[in-house]
Amino acid sequence: MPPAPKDAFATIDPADLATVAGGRRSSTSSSRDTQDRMMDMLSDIESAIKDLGRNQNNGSDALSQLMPILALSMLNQPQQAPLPPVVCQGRGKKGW
Amino acid sequence: MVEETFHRDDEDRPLREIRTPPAHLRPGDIEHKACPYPGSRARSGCPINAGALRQVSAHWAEIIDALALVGALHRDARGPGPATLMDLWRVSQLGAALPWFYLLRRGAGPAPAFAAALAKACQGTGVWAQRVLADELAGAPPSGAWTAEAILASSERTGTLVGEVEACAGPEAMLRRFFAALIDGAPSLAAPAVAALAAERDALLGFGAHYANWKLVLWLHALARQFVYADLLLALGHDHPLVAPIAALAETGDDPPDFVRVAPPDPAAVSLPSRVAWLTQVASRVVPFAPDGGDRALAAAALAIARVSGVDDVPGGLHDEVAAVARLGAPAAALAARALSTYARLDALLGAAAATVEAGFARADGDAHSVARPDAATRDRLLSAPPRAALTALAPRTLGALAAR
Repeated sequence: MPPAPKDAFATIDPADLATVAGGRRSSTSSSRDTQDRMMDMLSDIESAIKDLGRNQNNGSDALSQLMPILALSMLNQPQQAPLPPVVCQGRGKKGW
Repeated sequence: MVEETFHRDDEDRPLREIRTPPAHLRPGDIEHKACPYPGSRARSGCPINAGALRQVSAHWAEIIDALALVGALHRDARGPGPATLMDLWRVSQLGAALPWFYLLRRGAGPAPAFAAALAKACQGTGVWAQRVLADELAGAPPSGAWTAEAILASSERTGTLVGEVEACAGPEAMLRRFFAALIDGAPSLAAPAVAALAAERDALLGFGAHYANWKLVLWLHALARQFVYADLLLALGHDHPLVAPIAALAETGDDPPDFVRVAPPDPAAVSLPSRVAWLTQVASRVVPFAPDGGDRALAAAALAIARVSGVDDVPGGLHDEVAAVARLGAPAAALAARALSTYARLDALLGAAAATVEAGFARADGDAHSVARPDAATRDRLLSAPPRAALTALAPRTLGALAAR
């Protein structure tokens, strides 16, 4: 029987949320509300990323670095928004 | 990979052909001849690279077989169904990555000539697919099932067969055969070198998947940075002493070079939710297909790039600092601080994505060590026009501390 896969996802350091992602809320929210919301979002994100990383052998460092940023981004999850009109600017050329 | 412009294949041809910097070119490397082909190539007046065409002709069977091999590997990973535009782009990137698959592995020598020649053709195919994708994102009808003839016609229509100084050197019959192999070629593995590649299928596919999805993440990152620049230009105004380098970034800051900038005409006028919706639409193109799932983190990074572009939380102190440094009133300082915060988050995501790619490349070489996020200087080297200096000038203390990690 193969060994159980190691949990590749480190616990989030709350300090990372404040520094890496710059996660201090505006003055309209209390810090308690902010923290609660952030932790709720963290739980959701952590579950999502665990699914994301299933079957992944390595590379967990990068994933754990992404987690606080994803968590912060989820705080202001927008509702369905209209797509803006876009135009092509330039044509691209061979690179690497 | 981004910076190394000097590599040559095992026949001593420069990997980047005419795009090789003059310091790395030797006399006789590039042999131009008048273009004999009709259509856009004839009209351009550009010559063809006869030396590159000779190499392709000499290794034609291996090139087609290797292309069919990477196409088959991609089909196995993706599942059944007709090849979509993005499928064709991904297969082209598996081919374009092939020289790096040889070069970046420990103890590996130069890329074999067939791999180098395939990569050059695949880069052109990738440019074609990018142009069609950009047109579709900008509102053109979505493409249906692709045939070799349809790709050839589309290549003509999009101007892909004509470069800045050269026209594509391949005759139409060669292009049709190449496109047919791209769409649904079946590898024979007759050549030992291609059979050897097939024996490394997981490593080959894993390497190429990280290469392809890294390019998409870089592109998305560049598209997201355009909103940052637009907001800063609006906040500062045309005559501000710190605005010139940011205006230059808005004009030139595109990555990677084979991609097309697709953006709203007035990015600063787009609401945050609509920015997220637009960038999420682009991020959805980052589809993981590495056998070990390592590139799933790149899909997460792409989604996060879109999401952080809609966040309006500003780190403490940043608003006051940018107001003081740039002498901005409250509304302009708030807009500038939000843009700088977004840049700091995008910068962190770039580092996480780069570490994912480096780890994925290492695993393709049998090395499972973890990779730390690259430092700020290394992250900047991944971009054609890194904005760190210009943006940090607006808030040296706060942004410097955030973005220097």
